[in-house]
Amino acid sequence: MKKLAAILAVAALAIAGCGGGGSDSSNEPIRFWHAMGGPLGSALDELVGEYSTTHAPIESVSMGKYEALSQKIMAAVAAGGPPDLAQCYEAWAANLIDNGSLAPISGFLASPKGLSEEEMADFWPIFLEASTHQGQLWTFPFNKSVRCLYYNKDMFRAAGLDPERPPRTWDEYRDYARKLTIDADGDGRPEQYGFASQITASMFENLLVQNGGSLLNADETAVAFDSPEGIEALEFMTDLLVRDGTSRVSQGFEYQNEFLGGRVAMIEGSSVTLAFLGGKYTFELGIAPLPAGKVDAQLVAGTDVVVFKTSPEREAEAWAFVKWFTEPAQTARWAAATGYLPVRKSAMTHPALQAKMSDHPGLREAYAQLERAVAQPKARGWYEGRTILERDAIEPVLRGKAEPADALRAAAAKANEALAES
Amino acid sequence: MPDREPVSPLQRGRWGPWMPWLFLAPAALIIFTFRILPIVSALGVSFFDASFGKVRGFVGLAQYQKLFADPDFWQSMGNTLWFVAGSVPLSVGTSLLFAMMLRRGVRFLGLYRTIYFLPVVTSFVAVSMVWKLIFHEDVGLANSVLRVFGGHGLHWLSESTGIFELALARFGVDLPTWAEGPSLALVCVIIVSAWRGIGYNVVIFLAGLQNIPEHYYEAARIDGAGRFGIFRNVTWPLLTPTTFYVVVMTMILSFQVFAPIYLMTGPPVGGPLGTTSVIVYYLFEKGFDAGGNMGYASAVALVLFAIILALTLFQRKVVEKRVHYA
Amino acid sequence: MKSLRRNWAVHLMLVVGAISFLLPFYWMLNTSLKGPTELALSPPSWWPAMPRFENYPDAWHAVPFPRYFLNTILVAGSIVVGVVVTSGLSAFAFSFFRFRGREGMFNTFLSTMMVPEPVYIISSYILLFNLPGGGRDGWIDDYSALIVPWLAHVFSIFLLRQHFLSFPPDLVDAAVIDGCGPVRFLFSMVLPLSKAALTTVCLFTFINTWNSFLWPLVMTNSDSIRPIQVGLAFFASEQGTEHGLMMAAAVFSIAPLLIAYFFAQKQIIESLTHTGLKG
Repeated sequence: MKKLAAILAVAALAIAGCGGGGSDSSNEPIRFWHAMGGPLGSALDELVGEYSTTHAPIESVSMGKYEALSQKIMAAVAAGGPPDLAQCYEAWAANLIDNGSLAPISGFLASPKGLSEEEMADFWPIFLEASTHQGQLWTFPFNKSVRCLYYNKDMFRAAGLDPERPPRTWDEYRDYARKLTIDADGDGRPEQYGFASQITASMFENLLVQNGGSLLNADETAVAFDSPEGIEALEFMTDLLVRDGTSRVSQGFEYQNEFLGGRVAMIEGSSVTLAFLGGKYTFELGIAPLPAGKVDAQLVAGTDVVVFKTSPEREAEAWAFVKWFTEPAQTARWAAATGYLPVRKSAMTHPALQAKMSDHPGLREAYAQLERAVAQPKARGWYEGRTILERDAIEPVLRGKAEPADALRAAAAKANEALAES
Repeated sequence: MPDREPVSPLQRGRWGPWMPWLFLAPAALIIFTFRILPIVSALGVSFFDASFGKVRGFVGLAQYQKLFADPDFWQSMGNTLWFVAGSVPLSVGTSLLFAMMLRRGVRFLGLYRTIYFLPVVTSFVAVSMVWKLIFHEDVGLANSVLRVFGGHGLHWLSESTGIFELALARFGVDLPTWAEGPSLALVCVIIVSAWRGIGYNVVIFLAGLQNIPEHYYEAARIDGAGRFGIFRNVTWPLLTPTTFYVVVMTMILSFQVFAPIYLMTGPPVGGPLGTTSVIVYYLFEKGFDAGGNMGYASAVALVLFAIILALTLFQRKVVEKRVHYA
Repeated sequence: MKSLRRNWAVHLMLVVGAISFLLPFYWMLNTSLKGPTELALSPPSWWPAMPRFENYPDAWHAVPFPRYFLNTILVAGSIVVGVVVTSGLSAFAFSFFRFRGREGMFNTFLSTMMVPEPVYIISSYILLFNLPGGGRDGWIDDYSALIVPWLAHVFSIFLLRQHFLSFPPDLVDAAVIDGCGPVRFLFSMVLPLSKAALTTVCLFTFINTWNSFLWPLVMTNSDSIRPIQVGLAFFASEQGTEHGLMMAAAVFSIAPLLIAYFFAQKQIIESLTHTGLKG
């Protein structure tokens, strides 16, 4: 048995092991893998195209979705030939750092083509904090966003609510949803819902930090979402989404459609959601910061960019693109086109962004949430831990299969195992 | 299989002995490199810790131990079994029924066959997309039909509750979790998958029915057999080889279901609550998702292989012997 | 009288069956012509009140669909040619030659048919990645990964061999007496007599390649290589909420095969179900 296994293993290794990195391909364009589709993809391709003609060619490859991007990165790393650049979540980075796939950004910063201290001070500190792993900058802020509230001002007016005063507290959130729900024929299927959402950990995560809780403990060795604050947050989410009967829980991003179609009064989205709503609504759109909990806090969402270890020349070329992309002019245009946050403070004064904020006055306040933002966890096992949180706690509770406290505790136990294993 | 002595005169001359190998070479090269080598190495990789791609070392059966200890694996396996148990009778039963009706020399036989076969030439991607829309809770056709008949509308693809539970809930019966049955979401995928394959099976059944000699029917009729008697004593036994073939092929294909799951369910795929995650999706997720563990995924692949191999051998050895000469 | 009523029942069921097979196609078409306002209607409308034909060009230009089509045609075309050549040659060897290891070889070929694609897809990925040539990732995200592994098809070999074995033995004798070598015999006698079998092979190879999904999903990364099914699936997940555009894309992605089916339905049905006829 063992001998057979050994023979088979040799065959397998012969296939798997002989993979080269393809390092002789230095004249090929820098390959950038990302997950930007639709309007985001077009915006990115425009900037990449500009860089390619004025500086050096970049080959931009969209995987469409983050799941697919992660799959492709992992598969390529596994087989020994990653791209040069890729978008990357905090929790993916830990794995990539550990297995030696990345070139640290700190290394580039110190080089002559790096960034001065002044320039570094222009980046929002929260972004740099999110990019720091084990005391070094391993990733660089690329497309960061915050969650905000989108609402239909016309429906606010019709319900007798002040369209310029969106809900500001959790209690108001539920109260507004109730007032905005209309079930004229009384069949239990409202014609208009106050609120709609898909089942997602993102909403819970923000409620949790707003309630004074946190996802992981301070040294990121165990989860902390099953705290009393967490249970309270999930109770609130269940009230708003299910128990009150004022919300629709939709599959995937369908809730955006229902919002656009005028069947839902409020939705949560990231600042980027605006790019997907753009030009498709026939009502007056309101944008506001999320209603606050006990603590006025926000999780930063979105991804960073990482440079993969290839050859010094290719790595330097890849960094040159990242540096260019995060310069105030580019990051401002990127933000204006997509709704992502400009990664540098000075970009806020760029005409493109100013114009956008005067179109949507609510954006200014939504962007200001950045001042009170918290970074996503970086623990290696968190990617899996978050999946467990979503699948084993949020989803069963919202589908009425479990109670918040029990589900969070069970998910916490399982997520802790995943954290310990990683 | 008719086997005849090959003809050798073609092989005369200096090149004779090499001639067949020259003709075989292109196919053999491809098949050995791209089928046999990957199949063999899949077995090899499953004995290694290939976590995150790097082959770290021999772990023996550890991947299998981990696999069998993972409740998600068992859930996927359970879902797959429900999928097979649902789609095989649905697809085979419906297609047999249609074939029986079509066989009796009905008018427009060709037209019906053309229509029933239409989904077979349509890609699963497009098929899944339109059915996902039909099962849409809010603007879907399925619910609007239910509501016309005074029903309440169902959650279809986002319903994680088992169908037995759903069916009995209105009578106040609350089943234990293990008896709930497949989720309504999985049943939706079963329906779509059967819908796409029925036309194929109808054509095969029609061919099988055509092969039953007319004089058996005449003899049965002379004996005064009724319609059901004829089916029981003539059609069914003589059609058994075809039926077995169709059942086993449908089973093998059902164990490999992927596209409609990937395209119709979720997000996340396999949802709601993991009730539509099947074995091939589990393999895809573990092998290519974050933390992508190719050794682990290869272990899943081999479990799937073991099941399909068992089915194939069952068909080849047991069924062919028993059924043909029964 | 009784049988007449029963006939009516049979016809009714057949018609209901036909409707249930056609309805989703109609729904695809119906939805593909609806604008945003109509798409939000609940219950949905049975026909588009204000047909929005722009959905088609909009979908066509939203992602590089022309490129996806071109890729699919290139891949499926190459595979059809390759499969015909490799299967023709090897089936010829298996049928008309006597050599040591013939049965062993044939059985080895056949045994690979028992292994379904998901079983070897992971190790195939690793193998293709490490093959020289192609792009920077070896053969991954390259046409070669989509084409080369599928250039031989065991079932086609089996099918052609069955057909070749049905030739009368005299045929070979006559050919040899005429001074025919094997190559000339293959091209001037065997292949011309096998047009139907070769058509079968071509049709199912083309249709299966056109509709294949898991393999190209795993093996491609970029739009420039992606075939239509994967492109369509990505389009569906990216534009998941734009039902009109999605259905328009679904319609034009299935149209080529459906048109072919309309003209050659008999051959296509026979081709795809040929396995069944062998029991």
